This record gives sequence, structure tokens and C-alpha cells, in this order.
Amino acid sequence: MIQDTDAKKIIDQARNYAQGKCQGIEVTINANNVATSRFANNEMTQNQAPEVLDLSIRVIKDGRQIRLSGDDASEAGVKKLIDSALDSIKVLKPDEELLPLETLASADDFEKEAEMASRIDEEAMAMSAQDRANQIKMMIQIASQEGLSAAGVYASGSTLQAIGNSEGDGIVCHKESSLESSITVSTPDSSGWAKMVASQLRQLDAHALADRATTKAKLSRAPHDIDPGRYTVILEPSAVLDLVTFLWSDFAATQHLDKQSCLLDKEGQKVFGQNINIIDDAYDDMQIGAPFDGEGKQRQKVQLVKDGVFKNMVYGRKAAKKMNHKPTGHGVQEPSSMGEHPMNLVMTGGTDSLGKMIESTDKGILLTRVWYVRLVDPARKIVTGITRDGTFLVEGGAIKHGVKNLRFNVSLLDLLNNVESMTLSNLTAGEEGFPAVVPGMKVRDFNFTEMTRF
Amino acid sequence: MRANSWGYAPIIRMTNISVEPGNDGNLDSLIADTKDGIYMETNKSWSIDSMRYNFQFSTEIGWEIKDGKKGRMLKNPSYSGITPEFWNSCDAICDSSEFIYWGEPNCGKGQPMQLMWTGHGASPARFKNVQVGIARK
Repeated sequence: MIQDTDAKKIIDQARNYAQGKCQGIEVTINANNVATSRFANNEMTQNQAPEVLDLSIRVIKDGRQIRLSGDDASEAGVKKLIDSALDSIKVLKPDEELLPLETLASADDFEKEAEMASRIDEEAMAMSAQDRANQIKMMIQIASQEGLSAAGVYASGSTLQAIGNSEGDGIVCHKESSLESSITVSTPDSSGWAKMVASQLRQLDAHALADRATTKAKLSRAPHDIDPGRYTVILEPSAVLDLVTFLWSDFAATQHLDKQSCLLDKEGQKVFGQNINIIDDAYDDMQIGAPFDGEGKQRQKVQLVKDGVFKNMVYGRKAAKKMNHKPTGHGVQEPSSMGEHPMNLVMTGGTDSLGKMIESTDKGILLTRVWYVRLVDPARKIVTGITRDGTFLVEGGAIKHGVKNLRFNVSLLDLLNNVESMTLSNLTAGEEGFPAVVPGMKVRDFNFTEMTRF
Repeated sequence: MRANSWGYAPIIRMTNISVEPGNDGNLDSLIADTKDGIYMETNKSWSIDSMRYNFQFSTEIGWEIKDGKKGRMLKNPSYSGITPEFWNSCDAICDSSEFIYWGEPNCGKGQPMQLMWTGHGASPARFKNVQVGIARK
């Protein structure tokens, strides 16, 4: 895979070629060599190991802007992409909201930038197909010893992101190691699931994932019918993540300008329970990802919610200008109507454990994960979705049995006002959004509206 | 089998599945033929279980139909049910004059995620005894 110096060379080639041909150029390189090994029916099925490079170039000329991308980063490829952009930009209308490019970190500093928020684990990056196969073999054995069927992935490699523009010779560059593993263990009438992402090998315990998924599959066998209704729920961290991920965009300034946020005009007001604290912090030890945004601006740490009060939103450059605020380093790649998005969410957790939550529950439902969550009512932030891979009735302080999967319709505004207790927060992976640092939660009055057939 | 690009494994995709037009006239005549119902327009969001039994779809706007006429406007209507029961409750599909190929630019599937355009055509159709508005219960 390309290295920092290769990225700088490509960006410099683009800058030099575009000089005098336009008023500005911004070059973004996203590269990765993440290899994904897959397994199903207790057999390893595939090892997919691509080296991917995406070269994305934004050209600014005569008040217009255009972004084109390709995967040819040779000198000829870079020139061709710029020529295509210069040709295509002629047919676009001027962009009234276009802002001039800003100077990035100096070339002398780019190595220092690369070290910032370093998330490189040489051991993780060095994992071979055989190493991944060994992990998969171990995971399969845990399920097959119980006579169950396992499927999933183990992925490892590294990612690199670099941005440079024509305002000076600055470049920001971030490289990190990348690991992901998930497993679904199935019986004829139940399943269990567990997933983790990490930048460090010590953070990814594939054995524990397989254990959890296998235990859940066994425990949820022969699921019972249950009446929909309002229940106290114990949400494991992945279930929390795949719900609250639908709230993150409500903290984006452009969502407020467009009157799309469910938190519109509520800055400074108490919107959630006293126990809810949310921060966007790219530098948190448990977080992953680059410490700069889509335009190369350094990410700031932003307290979004403090003791239930909506304290701050995040700003890209366009929204910041319109709202007379400083950008916070959360802009997305331009041109974009989205503006910005919080990317490194950290929710403060509590001191409970899932076990203690179960022990303290007379009647409730334990959710391993939620699935296919979608927005129903944007103003009240009602989302619907379905439970999956381990849904259990809790009675008298213990898991009683598995139940058939349930559809829910829940307001996230209500949810974060009904949190009774939380576990410690950890980096958590789901399927609906990007990973975040969130806790498990015990929540009252969770609204299940229908039951499905399995 | 389709893939996002060379760097992805091809996976099974339902990219061009459509409901064939029926023989039940145009939308105006279908509404005129409906005594008590809801006409839902647009498709805002969709959620299904992992075996495609239970579903809930949300739309942006709808209208009550009373005695064959559109009446009160409805906000954020949704409908839900069990897939085989829902399709067995279909009693009318408009003809080809109403057929549109709808598109979806970011149908997601796979690990790592692959996003793909899909195109699904349909004419307006009528379904009986469908659960609506369950989010408000």
C-alpha cells in the first residue's frame, strides 16, 4: 500500500499540473489494504485481499467547483483526472456558497500530523491470510463444539488518508491499522452475534466474540411468543450504538440551518436525562479515524451534551460562516449539501454491568442488537427497527428464555430521557453507522409494536 | 451477482425486481373505487426483519380516502405487516399508464459494505386490512 511519502508525491504532482489552470485544487487520497477472510457453515470460504486507492480531486475555477475521482494515481492518471475536471466544470453553474481553500499544515509538519492520534499497530498490519485463518479456525471450533453453525469475517490491514490543496504545500496525512471481526452462530431456530472493530490487536478478542455469539445462540433456542408493548429493556452496547447513531446528524450545524434537526432551537436546553453526556473527540484513546475533516481541518474536541443539556453542535466551514461560529473540523468533503457530521462520538458510561442490570430487573427484555433501523418521524426522532440474534425475556432478575424478534418504534429523545443505568463505555461496532464509544443501557418504556415470526 | 467494483466480491443483488402492471385502470379510478382507505405517496424509509417477514415502511405524505374521494392530508404515514399476508391482501394494481421505474441510489449489502443503484418498477396498488400508523401507538 502507498505510504505518506507516496501520497505527498501524488498530491504535489496534482498541485504542479493544476497550477495556472484553475484557481484552486484539493486532492484527497484514501487507500487501504484491508483483507477480509470469510467463513460460513463452519468452513473458511474466502480470502479477499485488495489494495485499494481512491484518488479524489476537487477543482475550483471561475466560482465553480467539481470533484472527480478515480483509481489511477500515476502521473498520467493524475493529469487525466484534472483535465477531465477542467473540462466538466465548464458545464456547471457557479456555486454561490463556494469558499476559498484554506492553508493546511506545512509540508515540514506533515510527518508530525501523521503521528497525531497515532493508531498504528504493526502486529495488526502484519497479519497474514494464515493468521486470519487461524483466528477463524478458533472461532469455528467454539461454535462447532456445541454442534452449531458459525459464519462471519475476520479482516485486517491498514488505511491511509491524505489531503493537500493548492494553498501552500501543506498536507495532512493519517495512517492506522484496521481490524474487524464478526460472527453469527446459528441453530435451526435461533442465532447469536458479536462484532468488534479495533486499531490494535490487543483490543480484538475473537475468542470472546465467538463465545458470546455461541452462548446467545444456545440461550435463545425455541423462542417464545411475547406480546408487544412497553417494556424495560437492557440494551447491549451494539444495540445502543445502532439506535443513537441516528441522532448524531442532529448535532450538525447544517441540519439546524435546514431546520432538519430534532434539536432545533434547543441549544442550551435540557434535552436528555441528567446522566447523558456526549462528546465528539477524535483523540479519545478508544477512538479510531483521522484527526482531520474532509477539507483537512484539524478536528476539535466538542462537548455535544453535558448532564443532559444540548451544549454545542459541530460546524463545517460553510455552516460556520453562515452562523458566525468557528469551524470545529467536522466538515465533509466538498461539494456537499450535508456540511458536517460528528465522527468520533464518546458517550460517558456508568458503573453497572449487564449482569447487574439483569439482576435488578423484575420484567424486561434483553437485546443483543437491533437491525434495519430507519427513521419514521424526524421531528420526534422516532425510529423503527427489529431485534435480532439474541432477544431474551428477563424475569425475576434472570434471563428466562429467548423470545421471537420484535419490531419497535421508539423516540430517541424519549430513550435518552429514560436511561436508568449504564455500563462502562467501550469502542463498539454495529451495522447502522460507524463505530463509537458507547455503554450498555437499561432503559424503561421501550415501545415494541409488533412481533415477527421467528 | 454484482459487485461495487473490482475490489469487492460479487454478491447476490435484487437490482431490477418490479411488480408488473395490472388491469385496474389509473390511479384516479382506483381511488374512486375505494370506499374507505388511505392513499400513501412517496417512500421515506423501509425496515424489514432478517427473514423478510415483518416490515414497516414510512412515507412522507398521505390522504384519507372516503367514498372514492381524497380527503384530509396525513403526515408521516406508515404501514406494516407480514410480507406473505400483505401481498395476499393485494386486490388491485393500476395499469401500465401509471407504471414508473423507481430508483434507489444506495442499497447497502455485504461486509465490507457495498452500495449499489437499484431500480424497482411499480404501478399504484391497493392492499386490504393493512396495519397503519403503528409508531403512534
